[in-house]
Amino acid sequence: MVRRIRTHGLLAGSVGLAGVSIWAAVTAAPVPPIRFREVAAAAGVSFVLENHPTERKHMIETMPGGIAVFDYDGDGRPDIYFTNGADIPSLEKTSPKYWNRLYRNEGDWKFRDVTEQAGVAGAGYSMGAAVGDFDNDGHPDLFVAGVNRNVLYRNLGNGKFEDVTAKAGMQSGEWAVAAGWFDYDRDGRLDLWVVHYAKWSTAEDRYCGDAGRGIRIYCHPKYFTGLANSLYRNRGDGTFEDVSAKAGLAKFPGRGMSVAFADYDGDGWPDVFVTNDNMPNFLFHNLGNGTFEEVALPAGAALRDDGKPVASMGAEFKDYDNDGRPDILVTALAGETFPLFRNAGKGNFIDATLKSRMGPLTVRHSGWGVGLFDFNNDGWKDLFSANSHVNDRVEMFESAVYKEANSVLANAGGVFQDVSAEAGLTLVKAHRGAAFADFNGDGRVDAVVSSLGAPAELWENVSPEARHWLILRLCGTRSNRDGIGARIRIADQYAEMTTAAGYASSSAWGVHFGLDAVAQIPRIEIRWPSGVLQILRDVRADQVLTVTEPN
Amino acid sequence: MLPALFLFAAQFLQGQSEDLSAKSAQARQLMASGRFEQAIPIYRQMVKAEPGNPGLLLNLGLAQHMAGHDREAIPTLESVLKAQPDSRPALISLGSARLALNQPNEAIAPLRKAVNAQPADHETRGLLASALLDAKRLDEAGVEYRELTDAVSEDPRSWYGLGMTYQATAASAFEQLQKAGATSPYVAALVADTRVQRRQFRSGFFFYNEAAKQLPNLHGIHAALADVYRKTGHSDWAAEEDAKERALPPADCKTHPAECQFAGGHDLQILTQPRRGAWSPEALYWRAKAANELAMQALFRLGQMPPSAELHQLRAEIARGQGQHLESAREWREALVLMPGDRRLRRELAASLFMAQDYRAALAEAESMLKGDSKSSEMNFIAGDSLLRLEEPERAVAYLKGALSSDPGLLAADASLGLALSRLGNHAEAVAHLEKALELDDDGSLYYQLGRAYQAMGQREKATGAMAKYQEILKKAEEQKEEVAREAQIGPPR
Repeated sequence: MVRRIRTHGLLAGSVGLAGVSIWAAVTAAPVPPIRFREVAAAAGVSFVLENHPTERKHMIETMPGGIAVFDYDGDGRPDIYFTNGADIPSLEKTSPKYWNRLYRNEGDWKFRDVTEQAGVAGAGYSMGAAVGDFDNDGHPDLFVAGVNRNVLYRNLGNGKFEDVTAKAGMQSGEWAVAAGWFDYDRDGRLDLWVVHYAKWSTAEDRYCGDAGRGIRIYCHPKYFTGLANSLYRNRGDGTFEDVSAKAGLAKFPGRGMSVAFADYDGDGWPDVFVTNDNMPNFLFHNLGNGTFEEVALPAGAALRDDGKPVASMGAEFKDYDNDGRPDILVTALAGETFPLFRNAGKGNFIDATLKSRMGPLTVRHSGWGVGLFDFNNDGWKDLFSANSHVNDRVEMFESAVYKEANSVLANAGGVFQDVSAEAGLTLVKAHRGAAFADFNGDGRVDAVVSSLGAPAELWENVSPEARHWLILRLCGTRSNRDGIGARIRIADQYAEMTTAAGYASSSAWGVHFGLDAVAQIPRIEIRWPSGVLQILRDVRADQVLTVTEPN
Repeated sequence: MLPALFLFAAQFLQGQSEDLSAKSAQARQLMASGRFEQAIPIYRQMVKAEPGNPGLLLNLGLAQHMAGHDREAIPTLESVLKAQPDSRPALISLGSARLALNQPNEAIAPLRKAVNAQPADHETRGLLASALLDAKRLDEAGVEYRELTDAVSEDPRSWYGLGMTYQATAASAFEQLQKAGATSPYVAALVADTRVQRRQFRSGFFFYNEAAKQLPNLHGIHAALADVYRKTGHSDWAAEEDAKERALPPADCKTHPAECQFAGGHDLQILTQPRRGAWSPEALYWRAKAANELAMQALFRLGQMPPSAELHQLRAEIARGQGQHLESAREWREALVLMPGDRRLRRELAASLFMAQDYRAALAEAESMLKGDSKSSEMNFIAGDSLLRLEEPERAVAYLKGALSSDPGLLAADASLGLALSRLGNHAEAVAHLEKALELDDDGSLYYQLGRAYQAMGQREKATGAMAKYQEILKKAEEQKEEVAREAQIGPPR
């Protein structure tokens, strides 16, 4: 049996002492159960991801599926936005079936499609979504990344959005998969990082597969010329400046698939991790002067310990082992494992894929969307991954499967256990994006997952054992309004406010903490991006707490 | 073949005590019913009781061989041959055991002796031919297989063996050609043939053009380019290349005799004519072409016969050549249905499963094979590397060490063991294996692993050096890839 650490009440002496654990009392115990129930149809979520598969096997067909979860109408309930494909080769949303869809959360597990009213049906072949209140007006805005066409929606605050792409100076023309909001220069305004995959057009028509048997497959990524990421600096007047070259990004072409942010070295500046498909990943260290240094290789986060690049897809940049430092988790294909890079401090990462048991548990799975959240509220972040292979004909060539059920791995003190079967994740599909939120306000983190050509799944967390929790919703004043980049400590748990989620997705609904048996939290430390340190004391658990940055 | 050998050996038991006779009858029954494993201890007892009896020793050796304990069978059979150097059953079993252990060179002498003693024994000649093929004595293998296909023309094994011999001959000619000059246009032309066979048309197109640049009058090149054009939907360009081929002057047979022989269909003559001095690149090229042609003819004949293990083997090998390892594994399994327990087929099955990344199945097959021969470096490697890829380095280490103990030159096992040890935190031991395996590093991954291991050991300077080397290899590979990508576009005739 795997030994794990559980809370057994607070130790008086530990209160207020940084680095001393309230999870210190050690007992061997089974992992608290994690259970999900699929409720999409009953909840009125009928979205189908229309990727328009063709016999020509265009690479874009297998890669869409980003989801955003955010409270667009400010009613306190997280809503869901699905990105969607388009007709090929026109790359136009020629039918409503290709529309991106916004579902309003009306409470009690009822959702309503409000796409038309909100004006967010989108344009082109969409891939990823990123939520962030770029104009600091209190209404979360939305960026949609797509194939040669990106769209920036400004939330007008009245249930409608305005397409401000051109006005804002956002560019298109390349295949963007994902994006993320963060305040890289800490000026209090959110900037945008856009992840590009590769040069591609429908005219490019390499045949991959077995021509003799007429079996055409999606080409290996090596046949695609990668592209650099883009960084847009928010000028604060509704427009953005492309600072990719100035910031030092342009000289690093990759085949980017997702982006995650965290201050891995604790210098106060948010850093950027980008997954690359079959290329070493990027870790852009923020130098604090408007430029970045790519350090993935020396830091040990570019590759697993075997030195071979994998099909890195989704990413999470969070502290899985409660040592106060953000670690990096990546999803990849069957046979590659989901690499887990443990932050060992001093800018170094160590491949912990094996030690954490992530390797043995994921080596037979292919994962896209991913979330590290404490699904059983025991104080340790668990893993949820949206699974499927990239190649719909993989079974003809390899010992791997295309459609898969999703996975849940419970975190038992930094070591994972596969609890997928007990958790009830039985639907076998070509899963892609995943986003996470507490949709019904019960303190348990739920999930929403997209699948190619199939109805989306909405997984209600029905884990049976009641444990304490806290959701912090940040309201920046000197910092950006969303508090993105704020670093929060509750005892030995550490989290950063981010809306970037897994693969090409976004989850903007606060920062969730599982507290196990802790009903009253002695101290919460919030370090805002502005540098302000805010301490909250004796906070009651089991609530959604809005915290405003002191001025 | 076993029943005949067994009956032959049974005569040695005449005149034994009642107890030994009873045991002998029991053992014989076990052997006849295929329970070789159970017969071994009985024969051991009998040999102990009558140490000087070569008949008993022979039966023990046969039982050991048939039970798959070939390493144990060899000294037993050699003892028989010391006493009775002409014992055909012992010679044949010894050769067969050597073959099972992948020791073809050692198998040839006893098998040759057995064949010479009874030239009409096609089974034993088949074993000899197989040993010669495995030992890369291809001309001799060709002689034996041709004799077999003449004598037993409906035996698929002979046609398969002959086809494989010709394929190996072609491969050998190509290797010699490469050694003589890797940039030779003849090398390019042969590489192109292979790429097209694998349906890698862009690559084939590039290499044919490389060859045509230097050898514009080489017969067949323009026809091959036309074929590529047709297969990639450019019939107009294909017609241009066909016209170029037709316009070529006939070869001068005095200066290009092999080309003329090939054009005249005298392929066997090209292969069997005595060599005068070193072969020229041109001669090697036509030798490879002729051998390929003969291989196709032999294998075509095999394809026309009813399903056989050899036909499935052929299909398995074709699938493997095209990178379709799952398909290949399926064919090896079909072959095994027709030749149950065949160790060579099982080895191939394990290899195909491994290449298909079905590591659990590969592991199961390798572990099962290791029960019969725990020292097989190949099976130990497959088991160990499969376990490593299944994220079980603890279990992998013993197998990989086993592989290296049997074959210290197996660098792939060093590479795997290095990674396994690193993952287990044993960096110092890992470094030795990784350093040894570095010559295999074509993608920089071993230098990367070495760099991380040095780093973990606090050897910063060495770590930096290894990482620099990693980046250098990566950069070079990227440049090469770009170059190939630039060149590998199918364009109009030049």
